[in-house]
Amino acid sequence: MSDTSTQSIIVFVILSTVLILLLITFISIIIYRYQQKQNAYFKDVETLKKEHESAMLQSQLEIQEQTFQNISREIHDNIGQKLTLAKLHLNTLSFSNIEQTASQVNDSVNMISEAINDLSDISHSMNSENILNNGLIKGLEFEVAQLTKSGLYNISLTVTGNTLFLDTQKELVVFRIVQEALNNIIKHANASIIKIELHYSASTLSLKISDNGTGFDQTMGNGSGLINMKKRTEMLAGQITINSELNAGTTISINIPLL
Amino acid sequence: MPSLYNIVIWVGTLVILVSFIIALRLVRKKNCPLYLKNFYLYPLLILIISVNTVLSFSLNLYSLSIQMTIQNILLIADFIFWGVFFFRLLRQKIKILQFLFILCLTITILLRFINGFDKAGFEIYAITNFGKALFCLFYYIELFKTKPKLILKNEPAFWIVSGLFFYSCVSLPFYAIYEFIHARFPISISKNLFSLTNIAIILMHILFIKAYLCQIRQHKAL
Repeated sequence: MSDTSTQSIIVFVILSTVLILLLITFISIIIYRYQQKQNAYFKDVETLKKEHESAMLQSQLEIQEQTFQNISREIHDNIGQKLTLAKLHLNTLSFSNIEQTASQVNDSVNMISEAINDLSDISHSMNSENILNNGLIKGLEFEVAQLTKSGLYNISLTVTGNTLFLDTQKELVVFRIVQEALNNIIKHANASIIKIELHYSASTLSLKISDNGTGFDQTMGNGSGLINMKKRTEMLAGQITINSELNAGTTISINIPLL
Repeated sequence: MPSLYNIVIWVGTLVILVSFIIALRLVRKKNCPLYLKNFYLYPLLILIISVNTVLSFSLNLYSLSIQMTIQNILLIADFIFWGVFFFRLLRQKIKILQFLFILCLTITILLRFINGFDKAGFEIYAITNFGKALFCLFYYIELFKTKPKLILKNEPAFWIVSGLFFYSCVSLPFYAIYEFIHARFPISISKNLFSLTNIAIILMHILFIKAYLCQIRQHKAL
């Protein structure tokens, strides 16, 4: 083999090696830079996830605290008062006047019965088993029936679309949102007509609760009930819209993704 | 003893043949991305170009003008193949990509009509390789602009585009200054220099084989 040919082969081999090294370096740099970007991205995702979980936990604690306050207020203002009054009646029984005594005992019995009923209602509304066993729609039907019984409201529940059972925890949260909305209407709206509309689509559960009550000024900020509803909706990654005008009623629209 | 130039061509042809055979396995694979499904057409095209060169140069079975005509037509087909490949692969800046593709294709065809289809057309290599290198850059830009969720080592598109980008960048200067090398240097030097572009082709096809194997392994893992 001539010297020129050998030199040519050596040069060729060197250049080929340089080419291969260049290729390896190029690919390594791309992969390294991409992995750096990927690590930063996953770190961001992890941080966001943790922040979201923390916010959710905070919301759950606040909602729980609010619920305890509601129960405490209900027991103190309603049941407690009735029982106190019943105790007062029984303490002041005068056996000299049989008719008055009989009337006082009857009143006391009625008050104790009302207190028992109130306790039963609170217990029933707080109990999640009904929802877990029978589903959201049955739970809502029960709430509607309870309010209809009071005779104070013309209340309707409309369910459209292809109904389906959601995750039980999800259904429970939706149920609590409706309860919160109904509580707000009962306490503040002075309404006579309440409409609950539930629509199931392939990807979304739409919930609309409207009343013909006094409404409120949205610029004045939201009360704890509305804040609770917003937090619960956020827990389900949903969206809530509240439309209210003074003396024109309130409409609360909630969209919850099903997928 | 065969020359270095011929050895590289023979080795290259063998690697392309292997690449073609493995690429054929992807045709019937379910869930195989569209850009990869018909990828066997590319090694087939290069195989025909390679065989065309061997039959004409090494075995002297037909004239140089016939070989050049076939080669020029196949090179245009090669560029069209890559255009379609990138249209299927990329999701952003498709309009710019289409414009560049049409521009490069039009220039290439026009130059061929001016210079003749039966003449060696190294400007075709230069222009189409420039176009392909730009397409690859679009891929890298998109790769780094979108959410980095891929595992690059298992991503067939990454290996294919890296192979193509490397080949285009390495061969582009050689083809661009071919006339200068041809006029100034002895034929043996220019042949050896062009052997380097053939080495780049071999490396590119090795990366293609890696890409096919990623896909095949993924299917086996499933």
